[in-house]
Amino acid sequence: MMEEIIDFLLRGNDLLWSGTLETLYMVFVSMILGSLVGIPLGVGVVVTEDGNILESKGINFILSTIINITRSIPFIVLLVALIPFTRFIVGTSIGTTASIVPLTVGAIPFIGRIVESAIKEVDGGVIEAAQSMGATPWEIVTKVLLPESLPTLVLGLTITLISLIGYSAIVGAIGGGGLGDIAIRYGYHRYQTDIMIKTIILLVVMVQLIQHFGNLLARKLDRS
Amino acid sequence: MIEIINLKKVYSGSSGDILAFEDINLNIEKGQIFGIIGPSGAGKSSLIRCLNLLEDPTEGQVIVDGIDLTTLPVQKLREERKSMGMIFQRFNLLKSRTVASNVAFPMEIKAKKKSEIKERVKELLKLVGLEDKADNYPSQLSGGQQQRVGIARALANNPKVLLCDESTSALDPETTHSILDLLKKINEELGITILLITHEMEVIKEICTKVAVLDKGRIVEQGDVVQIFSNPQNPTTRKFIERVVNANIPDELLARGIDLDINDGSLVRVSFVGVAASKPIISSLIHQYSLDANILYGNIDKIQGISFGTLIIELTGDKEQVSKGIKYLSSKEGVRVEVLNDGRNN
Ligand SMILES: Nc1ncnc2c1ncn2[C@@H]1O[C@H](COP(=O)(O)OP(=O)(O)OP(=O)(O)O)[C@@H](O)[C@H]1O
Ligand SMILES: [Mg+2]
Repeated sequence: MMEEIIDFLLRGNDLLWSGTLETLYMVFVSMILGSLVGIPLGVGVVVTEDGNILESKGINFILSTIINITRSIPFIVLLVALIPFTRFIVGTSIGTTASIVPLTVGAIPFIGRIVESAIKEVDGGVIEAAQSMGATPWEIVTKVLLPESLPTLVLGLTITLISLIGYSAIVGAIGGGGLGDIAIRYGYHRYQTDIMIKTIILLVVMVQLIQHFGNLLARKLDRS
Repeated sequence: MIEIINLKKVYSGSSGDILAFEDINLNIEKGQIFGIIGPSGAGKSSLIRCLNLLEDPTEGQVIVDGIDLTTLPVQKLREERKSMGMIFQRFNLLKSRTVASNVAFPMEIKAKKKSEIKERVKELLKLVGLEDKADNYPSQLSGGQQQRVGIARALANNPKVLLCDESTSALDPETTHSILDLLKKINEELGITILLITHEMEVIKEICTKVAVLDKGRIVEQGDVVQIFSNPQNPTTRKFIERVVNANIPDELLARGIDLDINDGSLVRVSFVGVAASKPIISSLIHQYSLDANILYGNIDKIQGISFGTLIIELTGDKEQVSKGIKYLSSKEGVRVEVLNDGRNN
């Protein structure tokens, strides 16, 4: 069934096929890069809180300020504001690779918040048990906080991924490539309604699949 | 094994300071099962958490096996904690790990070899009777089974001491009993010193050799369990003991027999300890003072293998003889008499 739909949408249409791949490329790469910064950021905010394992008022203030400020900038504004930075890093501000820069920057505070709220849910008693066994803060983070909150993290990261698909369409609208770019260029400017409809269907399918597998994985990981 | 010197803990918060406990001096010897009992809010949890420095004591020293933990730098303290096991009221297992993997956890932290860990986990699960649950997750276990996992985990690195924070309070009486049996076995077979805190005198009665009573942040009484049970000095201690000893006494008797169907006799509670419990004291009382003794309640219990009995009797007869009889009873070694209702006041 799924295969048939995808076949119908993409057959004989290299444009949509490469658009889909571009979107997936942008979204997954920025998800990975964003996680590399966002996960430590979220963990950092929690463990430096008052009474937590690495209590530090200063660091906590800095980290939560970073999250709060970047979170409150609308993505479209962030995108434009980052153009010079993107050019500096990638050499251009147009195309899929260039799009990864604003997408990653937008994903970081998002992931930070999700990680923060997921690991805050970990039972304090379990952390205390680990401390009573002589665990170091690093061991507590890697062996207790992250594994214990994994199901919640997976659900949260699924939401991030879906939001990134949305963001990627916005980046597409200013020449970033991917399905959003195609929808604007062909569906809107050239009045090719069939392409417009197909990109919409592709995006919906993509979001549904990601949500489905995210839920499945989270449920599989949840042992409580 | 554990020496606690002048320990004090004050929580300072925005709304002022809260004294959890002060002037705590205890000496827990190797191989003992030492119980600390106290009412809610007495400071028990704060105290036990100060013993492995999960909570920083405000003043005083905690010396475990000759090492003063309060002066150790944090890395050394972590090392010392590896030789102190701890179990908790709510078990605190990692829900994302299997039983076997939970037990392996402290050994991973001690960076032991995989093969060594595997073998030790097997051994420990056998000790606590959960060999068949190795691959289950904590959520699939009963409370008692989860506490067994907690115990296996606490023993993983062969600790010198085991700290138990209300470790049976979340369990039903039967499960409590089996967990206490397990702790006793661990103490006897492995020689591990156990310090437990509880608000249940039953727990103390069942496994402790020594007890300290904590009330409002201070130790009001401490000593051998048998001695404390037979001759409690502090009102808080008495209350705790009465709760276990009188567990079966009908309420109307405890209400000092006011509406009781007693004539003009004196209602007395007689507690016996040790050999006194096996001597015919009551019958000699009846004969020597020509009294009638109506036994309203009787109970005999064993604490640390020593008999411990309670009788509630109504004594009738000549008033002078009754008071003489009561004096006679009180004079006997191991007997404690309490007049519940003096017949003359009726
Ligand atoms: N983290 C904390 N911050 C501030 N006050 C605390 C803290 N923990 C305990 N207290 C206070 O210290 C006192 C002793 O509490 P503690 O938990 O040690 O008592 P407890 O004997 O274990 O009681 P329970 O039997 O109810 O568990 C109480 O007045 C409590 O409110
Ligand atoms: Mg408590």
